Amino acid sequence: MAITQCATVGFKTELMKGTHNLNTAGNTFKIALYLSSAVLDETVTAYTATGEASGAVYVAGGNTLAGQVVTSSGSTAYVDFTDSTWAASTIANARGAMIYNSTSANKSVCILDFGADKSSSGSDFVVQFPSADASNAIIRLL
Amino acid sequence: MSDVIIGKPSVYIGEYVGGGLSPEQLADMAMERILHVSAETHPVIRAQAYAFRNDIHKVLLGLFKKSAHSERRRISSVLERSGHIHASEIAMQDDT
Repeated sequence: MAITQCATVGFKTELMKGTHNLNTAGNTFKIALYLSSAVLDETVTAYTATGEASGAVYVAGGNTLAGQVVTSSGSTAYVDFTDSTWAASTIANARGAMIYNSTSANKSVCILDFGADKSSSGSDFVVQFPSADASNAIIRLL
Repeated sequence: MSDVIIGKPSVYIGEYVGGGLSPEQLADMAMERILHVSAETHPVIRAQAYAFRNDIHKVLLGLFKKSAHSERRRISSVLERSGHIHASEIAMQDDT
């Protein structure tokens, strides 16, 4: 499979170096959509336009994520974002996405696999992040 | 052992061309955020959780439909009061 859901190795390393500030009012993070032909796995270090989805309303580089907040519950820390929408868009065959840090040289954070190709035709394309809790949140540090 | 875990996102595609998500999709999205039922939960508890989830979903779906209908009526009323009778009628077409 060309798109493998994961946290990138670069992100893990850069967390320890203090590169990424995921807290509210911290760094700016973006989400870009990709076709199934894209090769995205834990070795990806930064945003790439290769294999990126395209179409009406979609702008290369994707959407800026809003509402980022870091919380903890028990021994798990986690991050949540507001759902991201491409309104009235025509996007063909997006199979996955990359979240990356646009404040810090577009360094990769994680790869998301939608499980199947997703397309919109003049309609909203919404990526909904999972429930913000220690068992489901989009990025969790155990 | 510590690790960074990435959660599973959901993707919703609007059912209306040129428009957004349907009340049913919005209710589904709300439930994704409100109540997660673990696959490891005891079957009896899981059944109760799903029953509760379905009840909440029905309430939300009903309210979302009312909200959409209310907003349509408001827009239709504004158009009608502005003299755009035909447009006000169009605004109410296919209203559920």
